[in-house]
Amino acid sequence: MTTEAEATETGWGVLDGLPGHPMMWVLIASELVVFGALLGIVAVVRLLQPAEAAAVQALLDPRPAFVNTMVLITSGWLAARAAAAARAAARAAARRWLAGAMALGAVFVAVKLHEYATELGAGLDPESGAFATLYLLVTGFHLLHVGLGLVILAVVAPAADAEAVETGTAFWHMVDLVWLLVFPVLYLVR
Amino acid sequence: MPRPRLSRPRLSRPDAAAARLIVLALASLAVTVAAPAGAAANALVIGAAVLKGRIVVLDFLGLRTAPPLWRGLVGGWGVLVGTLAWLAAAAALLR
Repeated sequence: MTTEAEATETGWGVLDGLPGHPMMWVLIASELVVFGALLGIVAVVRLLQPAEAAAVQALLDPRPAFVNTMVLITSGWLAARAAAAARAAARAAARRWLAGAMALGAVFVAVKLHEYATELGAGLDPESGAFATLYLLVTGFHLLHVGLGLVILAVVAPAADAEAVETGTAFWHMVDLVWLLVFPVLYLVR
Repeated sequence: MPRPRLSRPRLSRPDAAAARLIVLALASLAVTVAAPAGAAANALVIGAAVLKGRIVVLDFLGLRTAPPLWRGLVGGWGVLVGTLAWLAAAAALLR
């Protein structure tokens, strides 16, 4: 008789026991390292140039960023429901949950692009200093990941295979997790 | 004859997690709007973000039943990023 843990081991070593395909976790770990390094640099720049950071933050509007936080939280919830439905072999339901998660992902992209247009129009200059450059770099890099996540969810949705949905939604939750820290670090901490 | 067991209707784990995340997000917003900027407000906002991250890690990403190493690494990522951000902001305020 084997335990549940032994039964799920597949020879991936430390990657065994994680939801979805183990290679996705290599990607997730590497993305968290990159975003962690970028947010660490933001902290150093804030320490060294607090006046410049405050001046850039004055140009940022936290309201659309808060809306996007709620959008990603809700999208993550829909993705989690999709994974649960896929595990229960309820493929039609999984597809519906994923469609909802993707629709909210598209809302996030639209809100963020509108926010960029407003901020650049208000005088945010990417070349005005390190904090402004980092703001656009971190949020732009995150926005690219939202786009990639939408592609991944669109790829796994039609078949709604349990492991594929878990793999795709794991990436989506990583994007969600990163935003939950990006939002306060760039917009709210003063 | 055995009595039928009555159980309270319970939210699923993702549903309960989403509710907690929304409450924490609204609490962060309230702190940002109502509290004066400073180390204490920063600590509350970052603390709420770290808690939200932990909920996503455990209940959305599904690491609650994963090996402890991964729970520690992914959960610790949020703690590390949040701590660095708070320390930098607090040091900048003291300069």
